[in-house]
Amino acid sequence: MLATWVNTVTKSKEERLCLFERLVEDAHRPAFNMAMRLTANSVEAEDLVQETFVRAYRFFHRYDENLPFTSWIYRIMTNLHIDTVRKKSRLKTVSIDQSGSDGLQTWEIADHKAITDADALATTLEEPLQLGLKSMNAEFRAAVVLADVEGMSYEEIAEIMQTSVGTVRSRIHRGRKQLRDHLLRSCPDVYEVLLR
Amino acid sequence: MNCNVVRNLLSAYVDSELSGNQMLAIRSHVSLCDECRVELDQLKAVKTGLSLLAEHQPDPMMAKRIVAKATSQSQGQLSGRSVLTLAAAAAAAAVLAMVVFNLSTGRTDKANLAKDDQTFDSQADQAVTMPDFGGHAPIIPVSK
Repeated sequence: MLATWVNTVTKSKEERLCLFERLVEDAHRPAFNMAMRLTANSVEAEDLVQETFVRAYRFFHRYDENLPFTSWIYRIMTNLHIDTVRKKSRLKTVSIDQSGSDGLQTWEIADHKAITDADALATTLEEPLQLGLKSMNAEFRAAVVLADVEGMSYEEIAEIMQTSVGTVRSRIHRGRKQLRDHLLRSCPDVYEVLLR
Repeated sequence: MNCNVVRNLLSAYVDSELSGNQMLAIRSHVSLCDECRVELDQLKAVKTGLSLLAEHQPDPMMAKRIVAKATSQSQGQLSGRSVLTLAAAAAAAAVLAMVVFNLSTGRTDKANLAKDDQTFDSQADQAVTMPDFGGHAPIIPVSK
């Protein structure tokens, strides 16, 4: 993995561009995966990734080399995503806390044995989990994705989201409970396998 | 620890993000409390499910598109800044030119004024000539 310690101050424009290209090559895959988990839509995800790296390049001179480059990208992306969601006043959200809400699709499985395999389970979980993530508050979603998809510590997440560890703890807890309730309603059979 | 306190800390417990004492206290509590243990298992299942999700892969050309867009937008912004810089420089030059112009016209006026003064003085000299009092001081009547 490309070392993420960067000193952009003394580099020429060509050197900075070359370095930026290498960092993009290294970071764009995890960035796209993060964006997909945040947006649940490949077109929106690529837009989010593009805008994130545009900002990263514009402010490359301000990049704090104490923060790994991918983490800096996640910080920009998280802020962008939360701002976008807030601005979208027309965004219709489905509250997954409401019991019996219409429009919730249920996923049923024909054979419990078919999902003992991890890959098969992941495939089965993809849609209900993604729908559950999409229905969450944007801050909760970002915190849960950073913790459970990216495997980051609370301190790392607090650094990325520029908030306190206590706030991170609360967002993760409340987000997971929302997802738990959603899975229990939409795919109890699948969720049952996870509980074993 | 009561159940309300424990349940608020269960996610952090799953993530091992608590102090040693807190971790031990919760471990002890859930070993005795069925409801909290069920809640703990459910939260673990959510974390497990998310961690199992496959990574979405971007298409192979995405990195090139990203660099192209980032650099083209950056150049656009730089061009904009260049235009502003040129405009600012032009405005400053115009102001400087006006100042220089005003200063130079001011010196001309002063020179003309000085010349006029000399003319006036010379005219004044010609207009005023003291009469000859024959060595006696003139007596100037003063009204009381």
